[in-house]
Order: sequence, then structure tokens, then C-alpha cells
Amino acid sequence: MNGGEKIVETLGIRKVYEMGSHKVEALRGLDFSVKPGEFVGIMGPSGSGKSTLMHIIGCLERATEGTYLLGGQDISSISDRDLSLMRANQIGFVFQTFSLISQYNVFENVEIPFLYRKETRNEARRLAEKAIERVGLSERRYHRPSELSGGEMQRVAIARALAVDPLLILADEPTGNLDSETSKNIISLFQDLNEQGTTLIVVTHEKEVASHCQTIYHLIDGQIVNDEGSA
Amino acid sequence: MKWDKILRDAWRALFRHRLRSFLSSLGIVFAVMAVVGMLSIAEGAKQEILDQIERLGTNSVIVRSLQLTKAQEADPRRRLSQGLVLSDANALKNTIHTISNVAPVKEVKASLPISIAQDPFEILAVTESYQLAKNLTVRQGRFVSVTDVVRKNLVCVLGEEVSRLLGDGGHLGEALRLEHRTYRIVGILHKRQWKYSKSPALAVRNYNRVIFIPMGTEVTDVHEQTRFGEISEIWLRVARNENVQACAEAVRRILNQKHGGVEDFQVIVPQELLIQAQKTQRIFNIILGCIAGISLLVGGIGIMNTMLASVAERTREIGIRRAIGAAQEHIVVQFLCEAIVLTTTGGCIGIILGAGSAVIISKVAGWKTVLTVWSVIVSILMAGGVGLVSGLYPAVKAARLEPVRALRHE
Ligand SMILES: Nc1ncnc2c1ncn2[C@@H]1O[C@H](COP(=O)(O)OP(=O)(O)OP(=O)(O)O)[C@@H](O)[C@H]1O
Ligand SMILES: [Mg+2]
Repeated sequence: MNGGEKIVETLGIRKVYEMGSHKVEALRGLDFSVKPGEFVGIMGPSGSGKSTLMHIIGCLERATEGTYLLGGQDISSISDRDLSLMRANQIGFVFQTFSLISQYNVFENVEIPFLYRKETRNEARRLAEKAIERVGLSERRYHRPSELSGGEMQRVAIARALAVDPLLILADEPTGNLDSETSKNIISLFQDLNEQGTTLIVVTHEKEVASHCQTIYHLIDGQIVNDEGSA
Repeated sequence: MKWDKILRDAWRALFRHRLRSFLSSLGIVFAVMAVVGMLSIAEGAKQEILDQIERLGTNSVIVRSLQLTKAQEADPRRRLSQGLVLSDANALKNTIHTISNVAPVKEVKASLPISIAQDPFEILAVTESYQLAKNLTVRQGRFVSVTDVVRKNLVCVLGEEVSRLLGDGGHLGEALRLEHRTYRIVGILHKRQWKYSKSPALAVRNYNRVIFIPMGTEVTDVHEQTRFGEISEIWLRVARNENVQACAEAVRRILNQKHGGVEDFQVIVPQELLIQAQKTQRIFNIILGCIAGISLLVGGIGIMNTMLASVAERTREIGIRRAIGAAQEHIVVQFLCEAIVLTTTGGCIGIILGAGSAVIISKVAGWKTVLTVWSVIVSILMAGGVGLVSGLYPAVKAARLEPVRALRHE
């Protein structure tokens, strides 16, 4: 299998949203792949299908057509339950809008994924602590999201994504709501993670952010137009 | 699944909207309170009646002499009957084979010794069968014997309290003066539990306050106009429980015939009272069930409403949880737990309030109330069941949300 080479591989992915008689084709036959340890950037105008692609790669929804291999495994047509398992075990998500649960403190937020995994209580606690330490928020682990700045909240989200040691981390415009200084912070955090071996796919509008990526794909109207990369 | 975390989260989510949670569980609280309160009252009433019937004995039939009313007194037909008499007892004994013991009793009115005269004591003229009829146990000496009755021996047997109050005069072998005759004390009974009863049909004598003398030795007040051989009660014991009904029928028929249709007696069958009590209980249970059902239904609708609101406002949270690995069943469990925690907490409050109101009712109204473990368990299960049923739809609805759509939700 050639999957050993690639963590993510999509072949002719199409995604069609049907709204009554009206159809929206968000992705139109997309071939896309990511190698282990790669730091991939995805750029493109609004509505070009970036989020849709991330959702498919992140096992949140299935493509209408095409094949998707994650870690060499074809998951184009697995059950909803198995998709959930893939998300729990292989994927870390970071979203644009802050995706923390407001009634939980930092530590509890980072612990959420372990609710849906097999680790024991103690192991979960240890891994969560470690992840919080990696994003440099150990001091604030008992604070509520409302007591954190936007950048700090995003770091908590990153800690939550990497706590389970996923195959890859997906970030959909992680700096979209942050000022440029904080954005730099987050990006350098991503870069650190990448240097330590984490595979990353980041959607962004910002050239500044994209400049850190090894590979950049441009999406227009649900298709990849060209690679601009420095491997 | 990590149940402690799931339960903790459920608690938190409910606590965050504590006013809303509280208000929405009020229906359940009151439903459970009503059920627990009413079950306690019903159980108390049941135990009280069962107790009394038990005391009378479910395999006995009691014939009691009745005072005639003024109108009956004026009816010339009353002369056909001489009232309840000793020969009635004998007739029953000789005709009905299922009867194993016949104990005629006569309440005697005679003046008591001065030392106990001011207390409400009773003098009963009985035969030896009375001991068996009422399961009387003798602490010292013996009970009235056949010979005593046949020979009209002037002996007496005292209830525990009588003996105690008579002091030195209450020992075995001492003499006791009733009216103008002197009786020798030959026996003293064991102390017996006694409880006051409101229902006259079920009234039980306080045997601690009775003086027994042999039937036929009683001298009645010259002023009292009792006819010869007239007695107050006949206690019949039927050997086998299943024959009680038939026996009671026979007793009614025979006595009606002997008394020429005059209603100067009453037949009491504890077993019938028991059946009657059970029937009343059943009706009560049905009404109770309806009330509980309706209020739980209303309560359940309230819970479902709250849970739907909770799911709607937490759509984004559901999306996040799904994105980081929650399967549909995790979401179902989360919201179901929340609903069940909400209703069982309401149920627990309801049980406390219900038990409290039972205590207050027993204090204020003087009814006996009993809180059974069974009713507590049923109430909690009921409350939990309502949570399960009314939480199921919102929970499934939450789980069916498409993760992506939930995430896009503002
Ligand atoms: N659930 C949906 N139902 C219908 N249409 C959808 C749905 N999700 C996305 N679309 C459509 O698919 C297209 C791609 O959307 P997508 O969110 O992937 O764009 P995007 O590149 O992420 O844009 P942005 O940069 O604004 O986030 C859009 O035209 C959008 O309207
Ligand atoms: Mg997008």
C-alpha cells in the first residue's frame, strides 16, 4: 500500500450540498495528499470550499463522491460510529471561533476528548497536563475560558487537539479572530509542534501564516489550482 | 464510559440553569410528593385495619346481641325472639360442623370492689372455650374450667391490670367480692397488647382490664331487666379458613330462623371486613394511580420542554463534542443522564416533602401513616422513568444533529 507514504490522500473528492432543488457543489473532484510530518497550508477565497475540505479530512462528514484514505485506510464509506472513532483517535481540531465549553475550566476542556477514548482516568489527567504544559498554560489550568484572552483560548484548543497525540491536527483559520501579534504566537506554536513531528493542515487567509507552511494549496471554486510550495 | 464525569457534567449543566431546572422539575416534585404522601396514608390505614382484623381473627365469626330500636321495640313480632341466648350458641354448635369452638360471652354489670371501682373494668361471664377463642394465656393459676361452669363454682380469673390494681387482694387464692357474692381468684392472665380502635365493629376488648367468671354464676342487678340466659356475644371459631364464609351464612340463616326474623343480633365476619378493606384499597390505588399518572405526564412534558431548550442552546457544544470524537451514543447518554438526574432529584425532593406531609397529616388529623421502603423505591424509579422517557426524544434529537451543521450554529 502506498498509504505508508501519505497520511491523507483524497482521490476525486466531490461534495455536493443539496438544498431543495438547488445544488451547491462545494468541492469538484479534488486530489490532495499530505505526507507525515508535513505542515500544509490551504488558502483561497471565501466560499471556495476550504472548510468543507477540512471537514471531510477531519471525518466530520463524508464526501459525495471520491475516495478518502486516512493513514492508508479507506474511510469513504465507513459508519457514523467508526467516523466518530476516527475523530476521537486520529484527529485534532482547532476552529476559528473559540471552541471551548464555557462552563469548564482549561484543564477540563483539554480533558474532554478522553471522555470518548479508552485512557484511564489517571492517564487522561497526565496527558491533559502535559498538553497544557506544551502550550504554556500550566499556570492557568483552573481558569475559565471567559478569563482568558483570545490567543490563550486558541492555545487551549490546540492543547486539546494535541493531547490525544493525533495522526494530524486540522486548524480552520485558527488566527482569523486574533490580532497579528497573537497570530504570530499561535503560528510559532504550530511550527514548534511541527518540528516535534506533528502533521498539520492549516486553513488561512493570511500570507504571514502561510509563509510558515511547507506546502500551500490554493482552492478556488472547489478545485486546487496550483501548488506553491517549498519542500 | 466514564459515568462519574458524565454525571458530574449533568449536574453542572443543570446547576448552571438552576432556576429553570428547579421550575421544570416542580411537576415531578409534586407528583412524587402526592404519591408518597397518599401511599403513606393508604399504607397506614391498611395496617391499622389489618391489625384489628388480625386481632379479631380471620377464622372467627362473631355474633353480637343488638339493642332493639324504639320502632322495633314497638313491633309485636319482637316477642317471637328472646334475644341472643345461650341456647343459640348450643344450636350453632350442634348444627354447623365446620365450627371448632363456640364461646358465649355475657357482659355482666355488677358493682366492683372499691379499690378499682372508678376505673372502666369489665366483668365477663364465659365458658372454658373463651380462652381458646381469644388465645388468652394464663400467667398464674388457670382459666375458667368446664367444671367451674357446670358446678357454677364461684371462681374468677383476672386481667393483668386488674390484679395489679387490686394489690394484695389481687393474688391467687384471694377473695374478690362482686355484688353480694364472693369469688376466689384462681388465675391471672399475661399482659396483652391493646390498642384503641375508632371503628366499633372492629373494637377489641382490653383483656388487661377484665374479670372473668364462669357462665351462670353471675348475679345480675335486680333492677336490670335481662331475660334468662341472655348473652352478649358468641365467638365462633372455624377450623379452616375457606369455610368461614359458608359458616357465616349458616349462622345467619339459623339465627334468623330461631329469632323469627327479629334483627336483635349482628354477625361480624372479620374475613369479610378484610375483603371489604382490600376492595376499598384497590379503588384507592386506582385513583392514586390516575393522579400520579396525570401529574407525572404533565411533569414529563415540562422536562421534555426544558431538555429541548437545553439541546437547542447547546447546539454548538454538541458540534464541538462531536468534532473531538463523541459518537451519537455519547450525546444521547449525556442528555439522557441530564434528564434523569433532573427528574430523580425532583423525585428525591418529592419523597422528602411527601414523607414530611405524611408526618404532618398524622399529627394534625391523627391518621396513622406509614412510609414504606417500597413506596420510596417505586417513586424514585417512577421519577427516573419519566426522565428517561421525556429525555429520550431531546437526546436523540441532539445526537442526530449533523456535526458540521451543529458547528456552524451560532
Ligand atoms: N451545510 C451546507 N449546506 C449548503 N451549502 C453549504 C454547506 N456548507 C457549505 N456550503 C457551501 O459550500 C461552499 C463552500 O463552503 P466552505 O465553508 O467550505 O467555504 P470556505 O472556503 O470555508 O469559506 P470561508 O473562507 O468563508 O470560511 C459555499 O458555497 C457554502 O455556501
Ligand atoms: Mg471556512
